[in-house]
Amino acid sequence: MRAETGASPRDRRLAGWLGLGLLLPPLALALASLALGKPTIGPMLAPPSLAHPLGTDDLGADMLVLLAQGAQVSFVIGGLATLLALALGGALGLCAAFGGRLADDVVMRAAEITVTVPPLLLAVVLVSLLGSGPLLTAAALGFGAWPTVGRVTRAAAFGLRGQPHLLSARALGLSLPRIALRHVLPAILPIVLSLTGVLFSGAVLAEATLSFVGLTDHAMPGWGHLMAHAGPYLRDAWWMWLFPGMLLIMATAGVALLAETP
Amino acid sequence: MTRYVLRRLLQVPIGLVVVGSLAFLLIHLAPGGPVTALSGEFATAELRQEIEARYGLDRPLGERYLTWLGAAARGDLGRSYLYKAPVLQVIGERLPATLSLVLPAAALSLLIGSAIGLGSTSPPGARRRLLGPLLALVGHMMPTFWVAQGLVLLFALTLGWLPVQGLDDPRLATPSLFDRVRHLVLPVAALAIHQLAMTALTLRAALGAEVGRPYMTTARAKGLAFPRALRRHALANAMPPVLAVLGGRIGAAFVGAIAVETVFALPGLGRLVVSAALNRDHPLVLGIALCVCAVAMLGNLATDLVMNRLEPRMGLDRDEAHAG
Repeated sequence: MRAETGASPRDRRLAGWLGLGLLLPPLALALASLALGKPTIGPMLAPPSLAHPLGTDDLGADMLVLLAQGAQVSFVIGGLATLLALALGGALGLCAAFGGRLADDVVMRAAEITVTVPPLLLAVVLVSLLGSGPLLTAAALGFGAWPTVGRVTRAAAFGLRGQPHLLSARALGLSLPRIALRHVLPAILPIVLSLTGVLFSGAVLAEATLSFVGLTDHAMPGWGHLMAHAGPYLRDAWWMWLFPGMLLIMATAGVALLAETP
Repeated sequence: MTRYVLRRLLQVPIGLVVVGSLAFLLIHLAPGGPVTALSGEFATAELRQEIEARYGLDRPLGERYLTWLGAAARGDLGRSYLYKAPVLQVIGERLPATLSLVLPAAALSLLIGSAIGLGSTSPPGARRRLLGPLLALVGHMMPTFWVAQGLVLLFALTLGWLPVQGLDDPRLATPSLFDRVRHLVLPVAALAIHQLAMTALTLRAALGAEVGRPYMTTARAKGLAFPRALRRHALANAMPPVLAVLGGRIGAAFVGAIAVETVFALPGLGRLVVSAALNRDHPLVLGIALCVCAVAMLGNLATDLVMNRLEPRMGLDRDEAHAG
């Protein structure tokens, strides 16, 4: 879904800067988690202070460090899922557009069937079968999102059909795969890449949901896990609830706004 | 028209067989099957064999598949390992709670989302109204469970107006409708906020394409105020994409209830599928997946039919239109 926050170049630039501003803090946290190491232990359920800028949890662990680890999980899983969806959907979409009638039918039916299984359900099923590793979570979320990319790629490639430069490439004797990769893919790449924002925010939200209900690896607690942990302490420790959600919104909204900019 | 509906209805069982077969294969080829889940890691060989025999897991894969397929065709999705009851019965018991969450949320989000979409559309040439869509974007990015916890913190824990969790007050001798509604306000609101943002954004984008059309100029030239012209003339034209988005999300709406049901401890399908997944109750996971897929397919069909009513030019056989 395109946010349509504005059509004029000025609005778009504004949206881009806003997106960058929103994205920077969670991204910085994700990078910082490499240096921060294990959470420092302080008093239990301490409100934000100088020693613990975002407070501590019920075990006294520093929320800032926990949130940084969560940021790393979100960006890695969200990024991997997005890459997989782009690669798989792009490849299958090009196959559908250039592989003839049969390939088109097969890919489109496969897309229809994949779409009827909500990505989150697919992830739940796969996790119940194969275990809750982060790579598997990313793979399940990425696979669930390929039809969107596939359909957009196919439609964009169809739009280029009959263009003079493609006809002359064909007349020169270039093979269809070569035309698809060298001459069609670069032309439609901007359209396909504009899906990045939707794909990334969808994957990050889905990962948070899975981690909230306890279906991800407990050794790598994501933001969703921290929010689930905040449940029993809502009345006493608002910071345990507030900050994970804020960071998640900043990351997803930031990427969505940035993807609107070009 | 009838032929089209029949053909589409026929596609539903075919799609279900494909999804079910793939899931069946995945389940039975995956390592660490249900036997370990049922017997524990340190079970004796005899116990494992007994469990395998009881659930027919000692037969060859092909035979198990055909047995499962035959039973599924007759509406028997097997027995849940965890609840020791037929899968469809377990699902049926949990369905009402999820429906009483998903349906009001969908209706509310359509109503309020449309109002926001209409309100944030400005006449051509006027200043664009950005506050509404920006709020909607943030609303869409907020995880439902985070919103749910926030609502609990504000309305249940701080203000004490509404109950914290559950479907009924356990202290009541007979469940009352009023009490049930009071329990559903917060979860429905949490779900609706997420969906209404999507409705508002889609409708606003669709309306933006309509406001410059000649019929809108005519409507305003004959004296209709802009909001009225928008409601009377542009709204119907802008609805198909909104309905397409909603219809395409019916299945997702059921699954999206997972986290909200967890926050409010509601006995719904979402929590059922999570507990089934955590306990490797494969027949139940498969059964829920098939039911959600069936609902999603029927929802897509219903959406296409409604959209055809609104926009007959689109034609029902869209596949054939751009296949050539």
